[in-house]
Amino acid sequence: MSPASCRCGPCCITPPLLLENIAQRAKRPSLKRWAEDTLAITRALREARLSASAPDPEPELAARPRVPGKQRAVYSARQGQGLPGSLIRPEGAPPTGDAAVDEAFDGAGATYDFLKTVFGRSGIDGKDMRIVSTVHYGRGYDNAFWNGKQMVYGDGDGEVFLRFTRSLDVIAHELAHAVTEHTSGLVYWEQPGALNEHFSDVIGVLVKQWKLGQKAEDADWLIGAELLGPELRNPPGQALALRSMKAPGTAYDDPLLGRDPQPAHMKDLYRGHADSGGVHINSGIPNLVFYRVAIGFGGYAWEKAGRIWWRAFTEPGRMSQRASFREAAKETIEVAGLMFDSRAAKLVAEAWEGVGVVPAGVRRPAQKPAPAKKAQPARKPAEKKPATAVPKPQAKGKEPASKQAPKKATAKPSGAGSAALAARSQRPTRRA
Amino acid sequence: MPEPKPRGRGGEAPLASLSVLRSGGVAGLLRRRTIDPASLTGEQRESLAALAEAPPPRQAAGADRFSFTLTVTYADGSSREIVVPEDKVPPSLAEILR
Repeated sequence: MSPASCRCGPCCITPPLLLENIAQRAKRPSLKRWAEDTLAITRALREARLSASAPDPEPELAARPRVPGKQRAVYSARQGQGLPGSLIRPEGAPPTGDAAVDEAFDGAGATYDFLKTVFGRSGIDGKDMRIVSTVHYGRGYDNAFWNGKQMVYGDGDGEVFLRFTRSLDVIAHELAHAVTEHTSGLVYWEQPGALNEHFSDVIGVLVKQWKLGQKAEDADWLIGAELLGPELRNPPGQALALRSMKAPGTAYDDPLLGRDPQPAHMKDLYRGHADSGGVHINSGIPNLVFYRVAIGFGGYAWEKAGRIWWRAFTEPGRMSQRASFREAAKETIEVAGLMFDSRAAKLVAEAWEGVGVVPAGVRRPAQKPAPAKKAQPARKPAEKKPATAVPKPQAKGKEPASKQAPKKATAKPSGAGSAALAARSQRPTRRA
Repeated sequence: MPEPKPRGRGGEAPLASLSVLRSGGVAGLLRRRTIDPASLTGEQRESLAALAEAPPPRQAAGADRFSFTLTVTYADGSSREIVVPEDKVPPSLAEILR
């Protein structure tokens, strides 16, 4: 994790002007980078606060009392970009025959039902806020997004991507961004942003698996598989989906899309500025952790792994807005111990160790002195054997992974360390 | 006396090259493109100069929006990187960026 997104004092108290000066004048690259990152985080926090002022898609409803229960409304932008567009299907209206409208409506309903049934949450804000979606946004628009107030779906270009309502996991992913905004408020930049994306992917796959009644071992763990258009279905490239939680970095390798850049280990963490500091790229690391935990528990992923993640990511006072992967590791391990037992906590701890993340509050093991040059291999692969074969990720980003991917991350995680952490997680805490 | 070279709104030298990296979106794909500065209209050049002079906030509200990183190189060899969130793209540049 870059110093900018940690919770240390200097990140929070250094005045922006001073940071700008450092960013411009520092000769040491690491200092320059720190100042740039800290400025970016500060900016992201400020802009996140400003996003609360995004226009309400249904201002006329604001004064009316909320109707309890599931409330949805699907609008059409009719290939324009005005939001929310024309109301096509409010709650209670029958199917329209327009696939995008009906998929957005049904997908929002499935997500609402999942959150209510599995986690007892009343809608995306916990107070049955009406779920507003707009479909047919733009012409050939290859995206879906949450704008701070509502979901928006493009029809895709028809060749590379099809309409973005086709994948239930993508619909649930977008709605989960709304949940994050109303709970942890994870900043959309670098590691907190990657955790924001990760949580959306987790909810995305869980809603899909829940709807299909699938066990963890039977699921494909892919995000957006149904969006891929005919151009991606044919050789010479291969494309399965937008992301693979089971094997980050393997979702596609195609002349049109390029190669899936997701890392599966901290040593390959992306450190560039693109994609808001790699929020859709580095989410591969926690995604793999969640997959391994779900497979480790076995059965339905929402029953144990999902409940741990839900509590860790949404319980007030747990995940901070600037949470790093280390903080996420600490919280999920602690919650696993509180909700289940030390074996559960150990499973979660080992999954984080497997991707090179040392939980916050745990001292990084000291580097062992270099062994005498005997028959010892120069670099022993340190990762625990994954539950599933994970391909070797390629190096990404414009900088080598050096700052945050300490060599010790590839050192064998000690079982004793996991056990100690798991045992500690059993102790009641102030938040228990 | 030779005619002074036309300069941008912010006093920059004329454009030599323009490349665009689109990132983000729910897919998180990175797409790089190079745009021939000679193909830009006057209005597009004006918009670029305005962005260089006053870059917009980097972050759009919500999540999964596109973000455009414009790398502008000027004839005098200097260059500038401007990050433009999708919802801050000026209408005149919308077509060439997306």
